[in-house]
Amino acid sequence: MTGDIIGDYEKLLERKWKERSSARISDAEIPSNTESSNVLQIKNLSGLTNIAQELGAQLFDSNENHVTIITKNGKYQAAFLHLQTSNEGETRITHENFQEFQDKNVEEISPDKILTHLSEYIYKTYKVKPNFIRIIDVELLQLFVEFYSKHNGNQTLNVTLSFLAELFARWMTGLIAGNWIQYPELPLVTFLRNIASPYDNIIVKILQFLTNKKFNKKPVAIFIDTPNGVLPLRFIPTASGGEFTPVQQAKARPVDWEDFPEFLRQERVRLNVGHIIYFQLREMLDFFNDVIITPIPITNARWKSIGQRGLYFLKNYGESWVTYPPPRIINTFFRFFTRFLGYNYNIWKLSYWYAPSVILNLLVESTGGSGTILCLYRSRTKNGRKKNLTGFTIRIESAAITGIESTDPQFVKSLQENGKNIDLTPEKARDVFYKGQQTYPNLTNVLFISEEFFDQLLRKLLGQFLSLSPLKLVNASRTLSRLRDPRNFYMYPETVGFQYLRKIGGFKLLRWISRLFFDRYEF
Amino acid sequence: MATPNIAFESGGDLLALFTRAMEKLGGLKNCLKENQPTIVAISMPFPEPAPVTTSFPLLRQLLQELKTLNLPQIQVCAVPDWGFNAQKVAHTLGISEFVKQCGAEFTAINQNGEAIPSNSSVKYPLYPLISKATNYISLPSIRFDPILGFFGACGTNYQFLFKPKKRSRNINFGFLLNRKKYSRSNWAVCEKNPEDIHKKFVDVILGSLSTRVPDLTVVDGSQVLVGQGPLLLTGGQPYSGNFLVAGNNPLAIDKCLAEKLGFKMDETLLLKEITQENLLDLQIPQEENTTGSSSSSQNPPPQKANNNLTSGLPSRLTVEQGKTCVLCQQNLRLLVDIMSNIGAKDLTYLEELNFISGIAPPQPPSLRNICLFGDCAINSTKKYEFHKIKQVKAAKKEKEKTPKKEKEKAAKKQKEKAPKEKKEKVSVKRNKSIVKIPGCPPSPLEVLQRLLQQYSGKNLPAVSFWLQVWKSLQNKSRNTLPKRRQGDGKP
Repeated sequence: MTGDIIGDYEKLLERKWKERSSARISDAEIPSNTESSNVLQIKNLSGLTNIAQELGAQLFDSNENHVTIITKNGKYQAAFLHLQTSNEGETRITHENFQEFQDKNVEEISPDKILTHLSEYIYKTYKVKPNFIRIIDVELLQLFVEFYSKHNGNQTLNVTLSFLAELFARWMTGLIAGNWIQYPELPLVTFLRNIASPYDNIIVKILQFLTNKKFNKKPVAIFIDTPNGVLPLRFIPTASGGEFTPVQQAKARPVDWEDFPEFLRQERVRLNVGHIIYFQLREMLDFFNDVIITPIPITNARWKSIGQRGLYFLKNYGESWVTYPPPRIINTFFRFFTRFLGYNYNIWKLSYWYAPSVILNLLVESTGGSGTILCLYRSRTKNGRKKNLTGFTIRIESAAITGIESTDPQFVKSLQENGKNIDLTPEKARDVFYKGQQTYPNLTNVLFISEEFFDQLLRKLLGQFLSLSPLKLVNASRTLSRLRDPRNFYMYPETVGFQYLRKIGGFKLLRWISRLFFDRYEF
Repeated sequence: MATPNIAFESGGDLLALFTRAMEKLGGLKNCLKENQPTIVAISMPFPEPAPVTTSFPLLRQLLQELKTLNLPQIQVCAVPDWGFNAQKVAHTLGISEFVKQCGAEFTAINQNGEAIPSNSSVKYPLYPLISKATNYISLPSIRFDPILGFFGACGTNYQFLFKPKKRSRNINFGFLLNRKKYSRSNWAVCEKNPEDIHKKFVDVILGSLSTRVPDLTVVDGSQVLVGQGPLLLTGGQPYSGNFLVAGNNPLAIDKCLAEKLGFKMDETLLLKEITQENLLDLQIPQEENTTGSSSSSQNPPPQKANNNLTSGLPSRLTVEQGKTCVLCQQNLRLLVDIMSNIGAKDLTYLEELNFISGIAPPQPPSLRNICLFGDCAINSTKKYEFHKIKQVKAAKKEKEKTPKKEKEKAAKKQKEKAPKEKKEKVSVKRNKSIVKIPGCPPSPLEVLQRLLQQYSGKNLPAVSFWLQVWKSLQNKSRNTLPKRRQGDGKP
């Protein structure tokens, strides 16, 4: 069984390498002055794999010389050398059997020793040195093999968001369990491993959360601008979150910037999508690289820094990212009109330098910079039936979020009355608070959220983001007004921030957001 | 007064530290009188809920242990800063409900020293309650302060113990300022000797202990607000000292805290007074008298509060100080911190904001957006030039119906005549961008409200937002601020 998986993996590696070579050759063969130069024909290569390779090269150093060691329950099974044998960056993958590791438990040997030993052997044989080693357990490898064998070569490759979330979740589980080791470890891997424990595997949770949401009715195309050209992906919203359909043709960006809107317009018609979202990969990676060097737990200053960096990316509309058709709010006339009404929403004037501190200050105001917030919510099924009560706790220390944990099931069970879940009403919030203090001694606040309301809020905010217009602002304000209803959102003890939120309506809240989160001067 | 007996414990859970400390002191029963009503004074200096608010788990533990002693009445008291309504603050922080759950009564105290029982609207002074033979337990928290070095056992106690005489609008040192000679608008006292205010302030703090010394003081060192403070929002830093000090003498406790927090005994006036004078027949215990584990588990000493107002300011904010008393300096520093951190956005809109405080301050660097902070600055700068703006306007040429050629000839003739005579009009106008903030010292909330009146919410969005948020907690008192003049408000 193990041998089959390793064999499959070997075939897969060879095929991937061939595909890459063919892509490179076809790229070189196309003349640059013809009309077809805008279209890079990459045969048998799905857009998703291409993006994965691009990201892998940038974030995982997959193009560097390295050795992959396959283990089963820690015992050595096989090894693959990934070596660049020429100056053109051509990578050869060879299956090696290191007899000295046979039937040995690799996990018990220091990875530094393994790397030193392999470096000596590889240098003698191939005159190159590996940069790192990667130790993968067969169990995790099987997952990757299944993934590739299922989807590779498929011309209509549809990858659902839920599948990606599941794949990532399994990889993260393997990473935390030690089934995927890289030495020397990359900052990204260290970051993902470190963030998983105190923040309750938040990245996986967010992905899983998004799989159940349906934000936009029309399909959206995501274009990622890489050094090798533009990689298009079509995202079709479905009931289970949506699926990615990589478009087989990778586009090259127009040489002249003025042709760009026309290029996007044509692509929109060709792909038959509602919107095109165009990202600069370089800018995205810069942001990711800034994030992954963050020490865990994240401090107050670092939260501000990450927030500023992320908002700066968002602010750079037209440079870091762009949408087609552009949102109406970009239009000067509409902007003037909304400004006349007292709302100043201009993405180019986003107060990226100030907005994170507003949010952190509100957090400090409610918890005092140290404490635990217990968030409880109850989701409903499509039939309107109430599901079990679930929740999580947010731990705050030194005015920064230092941990997120799922609530203790025993504690949730203790909240039941006569075998039934309690209603999330303000009257019950006080009881939950005092009961919660026995489980969580530093509990400062209890937050009741209606998941149905939260879904609606998220749908409005994300769904209307690409087509924001003054009228939709009115619609959004009506949704925000629902915050005043304690059945939708309630906090105990009622902090000053929360009291004010309940007092003002959606219109006023939007006005505060526009005043605090956007700079005033623009003309 | 009983012989100072304090217990210092470090390393471990806060509740475990408390239990260990109480064991060292012989238990609660040993510290309190039997069958007497008990008052527990806690720290609640809103708008900063924590770490300077007394820890809830510690309070719960104490109240639970008090209940086992079968005392007839247990009252928990708290007083907020900045003149906020004590009851509303207690409700916002959930303290009143929390205390009820623990089987005690909560009594909020307003800025005038009046106690307001949570279930009635009758106000009565707290002072007689404490001065009588009740058990008095103090649970202060620690926060760093440039004037005292740190607010510890003594700094918190005076709020409860100083006997008020008249109502005062002053917030931070309301009890102190009720004294006649430091009453509002008597800024001439500052002019003579501003340093004396500092001494008197320390005297009041120490003097309040002569009325009543707490039977038990427990200081939680697990959450300390250090650095600039006094707000976490304005640049304070939470610090975990990982220790607890309990005892029957606030002075001895403050001395112990000073050592643990890295203060020298001559570093601040309060510490000097404690060490130099034989206050209340107190014998300051030596280090070996303190019980408990070694301080090896304690974290290194934190950064101290810096009283230098001019360092580290944003480029758009300046502070010009004359001879300033400590009270003005304290409130001004708080304002400067608020404007630098919360109001960073507002400063970009205002372009510049110049605070002037104290007696005989230097001229501001610019004539725009001047804020005269306090009675001392208003009175001593009456003859300063910045109150008026000189505008030089060139005289308009008289229109003559002459042909161009004749004009040119006349111009040539004028050029030949030497020297030139410029006709300029100098008009003097009142500088409308000056904000006068009366008070001795002005309260931070009043200053923010006055700035908002002057420059409008559009120019101060962040300050306006936070004032709106805090509005629900303020007392509905008469607005004593002068109305804004028409034509003002242009930054």
